[in-house]
Amino acid sequence: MTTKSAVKRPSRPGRALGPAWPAYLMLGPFLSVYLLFVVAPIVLTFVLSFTQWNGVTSPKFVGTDTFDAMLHSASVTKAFTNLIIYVVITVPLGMAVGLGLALFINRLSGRLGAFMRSAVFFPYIMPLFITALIWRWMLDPSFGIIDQILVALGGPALDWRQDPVFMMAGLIIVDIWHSAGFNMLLLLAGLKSIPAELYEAAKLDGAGVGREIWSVTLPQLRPVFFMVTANAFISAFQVFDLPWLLTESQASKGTGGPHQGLLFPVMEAVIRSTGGMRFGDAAVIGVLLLGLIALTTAVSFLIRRRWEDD
Amino acid sequence: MASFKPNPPNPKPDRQGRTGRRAKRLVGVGAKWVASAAITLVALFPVWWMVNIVFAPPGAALALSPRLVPTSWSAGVGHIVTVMTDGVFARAMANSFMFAGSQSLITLFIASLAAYCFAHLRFPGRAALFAFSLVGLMVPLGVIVLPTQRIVSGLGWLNSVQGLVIPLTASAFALFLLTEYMRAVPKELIEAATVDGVGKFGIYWRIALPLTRNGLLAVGILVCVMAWSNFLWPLVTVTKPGLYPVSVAAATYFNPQSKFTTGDMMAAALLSALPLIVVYGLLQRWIVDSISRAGLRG
Repeated sequence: MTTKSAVKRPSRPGRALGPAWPAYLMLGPFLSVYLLFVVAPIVLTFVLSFTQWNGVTSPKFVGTDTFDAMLHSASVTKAFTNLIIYVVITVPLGMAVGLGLALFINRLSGRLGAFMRSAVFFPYIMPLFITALIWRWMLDPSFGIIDQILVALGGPALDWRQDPVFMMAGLIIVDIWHSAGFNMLLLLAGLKSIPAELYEAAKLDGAGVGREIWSVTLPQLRPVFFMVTANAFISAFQVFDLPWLLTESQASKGTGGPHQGLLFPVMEAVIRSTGGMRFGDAAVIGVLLLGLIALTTAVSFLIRRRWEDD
Repeated sequence: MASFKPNPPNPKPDRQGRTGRRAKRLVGVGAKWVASAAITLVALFPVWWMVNIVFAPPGAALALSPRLVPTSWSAGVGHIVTVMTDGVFARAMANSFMFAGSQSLITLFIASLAAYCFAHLRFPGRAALFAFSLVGLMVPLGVIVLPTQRIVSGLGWLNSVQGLVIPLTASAFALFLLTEYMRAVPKELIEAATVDGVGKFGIYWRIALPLTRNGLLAVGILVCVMAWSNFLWPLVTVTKPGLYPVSVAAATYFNPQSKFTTGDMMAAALLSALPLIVVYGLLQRWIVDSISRAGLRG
């Protein structure tokens, strides 16, 4: 390897700072893979969004035609509508469940606390494709355990397969089952890093549990909370495995099931490009998703700065 | 490694002895255990249910009066044999071990090398390059998956091991965590080695890497789990069943027109989950601690 030369080359004694080239050489492997498979695809997304490309012949520049076509396409609109509904519910709900679990587990001590931490985190270790396999069966309207429990309790059997409302609800339940443990773990780590003196001070001031959470815990938790929320948004925008596998069947491959109830942008991009050889379409969907990520990041940055000014 | 000490924010109540208070405490303790049991049930039941369906007698998965415990060892073994001899799945398991192993080794090498530079070397453009390398944290693969697939296709890497593995090794996440671990390597050690005439790569290889063992192991396990779980990337880059990883192979069991039963499908899920369950079972305390600590650095 070329980097070997750096081993033999003696640094001048007494000088901590050598020449810069070994650093660039050592960054080389990471940066070249990063440039080729992360940066170039981002640039390519923008470039291709102004083209139509079947992936074989050279891309044809079409200006904003592809954007126009996508914004007027019923399935793309549906995919983004589904995405907004999904994100707006699953992110706050997931954060609330994660926070609730973290606050609860933080009050447990010793072995019970350690056990609960591991147990609640366990679903996150399960890959999404396995999660989808299991829950798809549990949510089966005819044979699924969930509907059997609901009926046994005197409730109605819900149609998690055909009714778009329950399809979305089912997806959100599965998503929260999977990701709550991750949110919990990071928030719990944040809780444990809050200095105990702050709680003692609150106690001396006669604060109750609710008051204590509101004026000590939550403000101290802000940085961690922001990071976890940002992560939740970014992973929600690219939702793919669960809706794809929860709705996949011979009749509808990746179209999001009945009424396109679980159709999401990344699914639509995959279908349009690998199925329909329309890579320009996929690029426009990519640009729109990048825009959503940029927007959320900007908003969270503004909120954060405003809070820090307080 | 620092041990993880829970730090209960509420010391025990200092006033005790009043019966009302004691009763309240008992109720509190009871509620704590009931809530713990309920949460554990929700977290673990689906995975238990998977095991239960694999080891159910034929037809029982479709019965309307579910049994809550596995009853048929032989049926479960039958499903597992069916899956392992279907011509794709056993191969896919081996593939996934190979993909996850090579992806994490390459990621660890290139990311730790870069992390060492960012943490300990001074060179023009360091801060800018570091920020630039972390942009990847905000752009998940799903969003740019098809342009990435086009680049891989342009290299002629579709349906190849390198096409599956290499593009995912430039992990901004691994770089970020490893840079934090590298920063913890004492500057004095590096200066001393420099004075002794050890080169930059030598310091990285002989001093920094051994001192960041724990971090490397933690990031390596996370990368392995993520590689094992990845479904979208192999879905768009691999069409040859011989190259399927376990995620794509298990998903083929969804096809309602396939000859496979629900028991077979769940056996495929169980076999795919098994390595992760075993690793988590053995190392859960340590994995959970590492992620907690990594998370706090964000």
